[in-house]
Amino acid sequence: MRAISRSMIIAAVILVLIVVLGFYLVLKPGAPAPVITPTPVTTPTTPQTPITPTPTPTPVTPIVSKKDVLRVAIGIDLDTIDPHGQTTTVVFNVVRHVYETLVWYDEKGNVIPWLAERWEISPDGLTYTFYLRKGVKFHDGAEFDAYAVKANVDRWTDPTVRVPLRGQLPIKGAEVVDKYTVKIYFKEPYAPALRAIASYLLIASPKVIEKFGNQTITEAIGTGPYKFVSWEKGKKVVLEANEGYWGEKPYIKRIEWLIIPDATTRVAALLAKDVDFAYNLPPTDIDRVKTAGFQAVTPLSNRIIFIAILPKGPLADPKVRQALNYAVDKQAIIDYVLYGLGVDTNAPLPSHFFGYARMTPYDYNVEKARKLLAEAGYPQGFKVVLLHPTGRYLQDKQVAEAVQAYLSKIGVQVELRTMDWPSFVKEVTKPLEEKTYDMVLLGWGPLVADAHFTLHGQFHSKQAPPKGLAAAHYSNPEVDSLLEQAAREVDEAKRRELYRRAIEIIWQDAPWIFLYVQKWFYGSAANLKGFMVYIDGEQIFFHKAYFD
Amino acid sequence: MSLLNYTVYRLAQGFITFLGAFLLIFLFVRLLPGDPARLIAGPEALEEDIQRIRAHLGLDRPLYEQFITYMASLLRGDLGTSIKYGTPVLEEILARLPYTLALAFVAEALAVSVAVPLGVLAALKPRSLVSQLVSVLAVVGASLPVFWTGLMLIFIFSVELRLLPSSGAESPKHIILPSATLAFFLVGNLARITRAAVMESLSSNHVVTARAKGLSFNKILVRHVLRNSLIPILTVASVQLGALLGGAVVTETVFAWPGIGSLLIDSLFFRDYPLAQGVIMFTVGAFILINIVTDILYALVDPRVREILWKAA
Repeated sequence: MRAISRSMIIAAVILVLIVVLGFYLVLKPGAPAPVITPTPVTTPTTPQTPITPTPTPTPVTPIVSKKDVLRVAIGIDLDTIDPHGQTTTVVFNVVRHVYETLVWYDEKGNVIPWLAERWEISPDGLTYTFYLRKGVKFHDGAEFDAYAVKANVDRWTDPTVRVPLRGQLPIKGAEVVDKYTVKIYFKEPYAPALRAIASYLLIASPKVIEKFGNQTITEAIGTGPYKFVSWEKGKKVVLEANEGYWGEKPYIKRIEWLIIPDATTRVAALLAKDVDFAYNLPPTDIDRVKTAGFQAVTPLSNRIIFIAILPKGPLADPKVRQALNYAVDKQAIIDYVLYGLGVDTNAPLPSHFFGYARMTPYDYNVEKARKLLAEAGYPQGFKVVLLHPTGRYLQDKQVAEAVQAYLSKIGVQVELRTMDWPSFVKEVTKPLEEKTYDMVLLGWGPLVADAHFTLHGQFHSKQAPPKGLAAAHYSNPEVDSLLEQAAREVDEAKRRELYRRAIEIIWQDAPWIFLYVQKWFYGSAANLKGFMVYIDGEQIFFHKAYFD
Repeated sequence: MSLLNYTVYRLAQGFITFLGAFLLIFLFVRLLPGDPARLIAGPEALEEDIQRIRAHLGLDRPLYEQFITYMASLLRGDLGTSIKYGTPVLEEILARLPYTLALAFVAEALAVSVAVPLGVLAALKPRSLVSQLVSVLAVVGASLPVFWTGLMLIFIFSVELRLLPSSGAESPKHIILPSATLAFFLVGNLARITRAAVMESLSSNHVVTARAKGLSFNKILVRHVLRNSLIPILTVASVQLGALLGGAVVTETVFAWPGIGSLLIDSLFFRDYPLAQGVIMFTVGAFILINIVTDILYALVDPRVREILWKAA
């Protein structure tokens, strides 16, 4: 018996030692207090340039990469390499090294020529004519021309093909004018059309389309700088440089995308130099990565994080909702909870989106919040339930807890509730009267950087659940009409103005606690240069990357 | 009754268990709240797109109809098509299977080859350091969460020492850390069971008799003690192996090991019903099979069991 109790003590001591050693290893170089990494405050009036650590090199001598295999860690496996079956940003990111689009974005978010050299839009906004680049070849040798574009458009519109995001690009059809001219028709005027074409319409080889018909395409053949080599599910995707690329040839010969689901393991893989670049790392590791001599890449994303307030009980009063906005210190949340990985854009959308307009901030002001609550008839506050996901967005649970603490200062008692993601989505899509919560923390990150996708998706009354996912069940006929007009307006200046007016009304009505736009945190080897951070802040392109 | 008859009998029994489990799996997977169509399209998608996907996947039809369709295709040997990947479920499982098998067997072999000698030594000298080590290992191994052990090993051997790769499954080297993590968890328990079993047979009558006869100690140990201790060791090791074949979910996630476990988690988070039920059915099947094999092994190593089991059958 004595032996056993002695061994129990030894076991306990060893456990304590292991735990202490573990904390040391995992958390060193330990941040004693939450570290405030001063993030450059961008002037929100100008379209925001993604923060790229290295400006695109303009070398005098041609670049020779010291190493020609690049290993990249991503957190999720691909679901499909079908060009028209894409839905997930990271997957888009990988396959977009293989497939290209007619037009693309520059670093400021302007639409630029790509596979199409120029285009014309008919005055009624229904017909887009594209003049295509000549001499471009697919990886299988097929020629890129108007027929290839038509084959892709036909597949996009074919109802028997699984195209999850078809509704985001409501094309009617395509017509070949001559070998290098193609017309794309829309059902109705659709202002974000060019941006949506740049985001969604990946062009695959007509031979592959013919081969697979309406079945899921499992051979990725495009015109891009990289050729698809292999995909081992749950393990890795391999791409190889396309020597016959029409544009500037890539420096890196081979890219291996390794699927590493656990974020801490991705950090470890980067630190151990098993990978050269790692996506989506935990904010808590930002200092560790920097001190170890790696680049911390923190681009601004397309995703705005907010707390949608349901219009019921005390929360139906706009004064109460404004009070909640004054009661939360967003900057403190960004600095201390997010480790600087967020930006307050003072609007219900990211500042680099088309249609962005800056509003007067709801500055942190407890007195004003209390006063507004008292005016609304709730000087003692009330109770609410706040639903939040866990692990879906950066520090989501911790942010919800911070909001809970802030609201308690004005007498609003918040009960937190969480669910796994599918159940969470199910709960949020229930009709208003079936909902068991009052507020929900949510993120909204359209693939297209255009106000339409954020504002229409979140504030048009027709998008309220169960039909859509407009989480606040916001309903304002004036906003509805402004958003509808803006979606059809072809004149960019007029369109901007319509969005500005809609945003002003929304800002006053405060159907959200407006929080922040999330930044991503990626880690990169110190000598990896020339990669491009896409305008959405999530995708990284290695077309021109090289090792110094 | 012969060994063959017994095997057939147990297989038939296993098949019935499997059918029952299958019905439960089909229902339970679908009882989880959530809509795969919306998860595919993403929260930002439009309602019309989601409706279309739902119809495309046949999820808009009543449950019994889905069940009949599924059963019909199952009879043709078709496990259905994954909602997420759009490829046959069987293909997905078979692609991941070698990884899970490799990890499970290597980890279990590692655990057994450390635990059994340790347990025997501990039993021979109950008051020694080795014996205490076994108790300590049992407590420490079982108390440390696997993800913690895994991360620790990664930080020590990959980040600090740069000896082993941190994650992935590219070379034989890659299996060392994940299997060590699992073995660390399993070793203590197995060693304790071995110690208890060996101690018990050491004090049993036939061993005392053998000693009295003057047989050499080594001979007694191998022929009389170890053989009699095999059953409990076999039981624990096979249960452990069965659990590992179901996919060491946490270990696979931490080490980015592309096995069945991470596939299951993925499919459940995506509400990929056909894939999830395919993986769970595989797991259940593997567990049932391992149980049957273990029972047969009992019969092979122990004539007394042979008597009892076959009579019962």
